[in-house]
Amino acid sequence: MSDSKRQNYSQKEKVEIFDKEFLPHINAMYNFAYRLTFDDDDSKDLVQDTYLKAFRFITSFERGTNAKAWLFRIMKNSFINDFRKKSKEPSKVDYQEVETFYNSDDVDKAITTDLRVETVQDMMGDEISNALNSLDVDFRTVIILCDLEGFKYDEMAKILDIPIGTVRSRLHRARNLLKEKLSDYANKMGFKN
Amino acid sequence: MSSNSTNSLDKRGSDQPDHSECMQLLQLVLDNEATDQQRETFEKHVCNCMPYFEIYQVDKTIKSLVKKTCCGKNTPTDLADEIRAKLFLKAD
Repeated sequence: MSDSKRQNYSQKEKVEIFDKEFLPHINAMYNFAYRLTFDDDDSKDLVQDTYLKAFRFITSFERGTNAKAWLFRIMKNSFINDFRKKSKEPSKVDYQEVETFYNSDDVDKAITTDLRVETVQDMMGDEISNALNSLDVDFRTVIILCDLEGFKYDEMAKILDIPIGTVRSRLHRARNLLKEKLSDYANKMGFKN
Repeated sequence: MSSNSTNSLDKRGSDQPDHSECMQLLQLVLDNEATDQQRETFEKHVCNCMPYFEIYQVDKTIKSLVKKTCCGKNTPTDLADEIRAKLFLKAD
């Protein structure tokens, strides 16, 4: 995300960048907004707000660099600052989790998950979607960025303003939580594990 | 994964691969972030370790299902035009 060096664009160039580099990501942006807010109107507002900010700060964007990651970063910040703060405090980076995670028993936690491939494959899309939606927004976000949008760890670190180690540990925890939800669901529905 | 899986790890001997390292590698391989060497180490381990093979398969399946089922939210058709109108009316 090249936002340190100011670019000197003409109005025509700004519009070109907006149309050719920013707008093609609108579907991914809307989907991300919806996964954050779960509301059509809020998603629309969040996408609009993100694009208006992107244009306002377009001189911070270097043409030809990763526009999608840049837009996602703006949206994440808008969500935290404008949408989320009404209901709860923005999350704080838990540096402790980075330090302790890979030296703890937590790394083996997935072993206890009783899910099997066949069980997961038998699930309908709704179960996966509902399980993902039920996760805390910080955990949900890393799964969306990684598994849905295919961002690399270093891109996620920039979007979320957290160290790569935290991206990895948060992703690991998020996946374990998702598996727990799916496992609970499978047990409730009497799926064979 | 049953309790047998857990037991198989609890009973590992000192000559067995390092499961903690493998767990870290599993995520890197899953997310296509592993180096060739890390991938090779992981594949060797997984070939000899049924629980990790199963975990990897489950994680891979969930990852692909998340991608398949969670990205279908339709963007309102007029949204891009609305944004452009707002912006370029302002800009002019």
